[in-house]
Amino acid sequence: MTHKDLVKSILKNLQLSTMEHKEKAMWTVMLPTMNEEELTKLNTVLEEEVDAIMDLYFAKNA
Amino acid sequence: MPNPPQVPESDIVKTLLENKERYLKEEGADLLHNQFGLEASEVAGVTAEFSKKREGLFGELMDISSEVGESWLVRQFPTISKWIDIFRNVGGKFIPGLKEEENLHSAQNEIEGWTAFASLFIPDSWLRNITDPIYNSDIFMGLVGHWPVGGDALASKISGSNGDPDHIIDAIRAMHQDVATGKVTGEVLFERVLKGLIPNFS
Repeated sequence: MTHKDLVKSILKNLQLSTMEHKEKAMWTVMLPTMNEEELTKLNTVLEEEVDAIMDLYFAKNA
Repeated sequence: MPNPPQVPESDIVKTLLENKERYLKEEGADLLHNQFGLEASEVAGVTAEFSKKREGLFGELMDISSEVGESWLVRQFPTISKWIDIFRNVGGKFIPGLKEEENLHSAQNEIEGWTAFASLFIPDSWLRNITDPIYNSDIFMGLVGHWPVGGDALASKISGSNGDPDHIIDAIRAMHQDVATGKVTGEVLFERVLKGLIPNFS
């Protein structure tokens, strides 16, 4: 993923994460200062979390 | 175009402070409920697991012992990161001979920037890893309690909130500001704080 795609993906996944608003604001403020390696790590963790939430959602609503 | 109504700054600050806790802690749960139809309790396991992972990532970003020059902390707060490195490497003990006044002065903006960032953005559950040992320290609470400028109020706020990280950081910021601006001088510190902390100190 390019730097721009990573940032876009993170911003989308941040909205779906269960983290509190204070932490969302923290990552948003830090994004411009993070390099690609750091962005990739954050994006991976967020994608895993959103997947886990969606699994719970589908399990409940199946 | 008509000018928007002017709201006194003090009212804005008051409103923000009054709503801060609700905004930061409850809105996330409401959002989750509305988007997925899942209660916060149903995703508590996921929340805890991934909070821990993100905390680890945040720790990597803040870790100045690895890839010095690459971490976020080193880039954003170079002077503070050096101080943290020094204190970490000596196990938190003060190093005799350091010219602390000069370094404190040059780091003033960073201390204010870093503590503001920590208080506003870092989740309280992560901050407690740092602030709980400070709260449990007799020296820190004694220092706050004997502080010449509003020390009693700062100490009662911290105690009353059971060591709320925001209140501890607020106290550190206030004390730092008092020293940096000369409101509390070395003489006053010696007379009031040290003699207050150590009854037999002369």
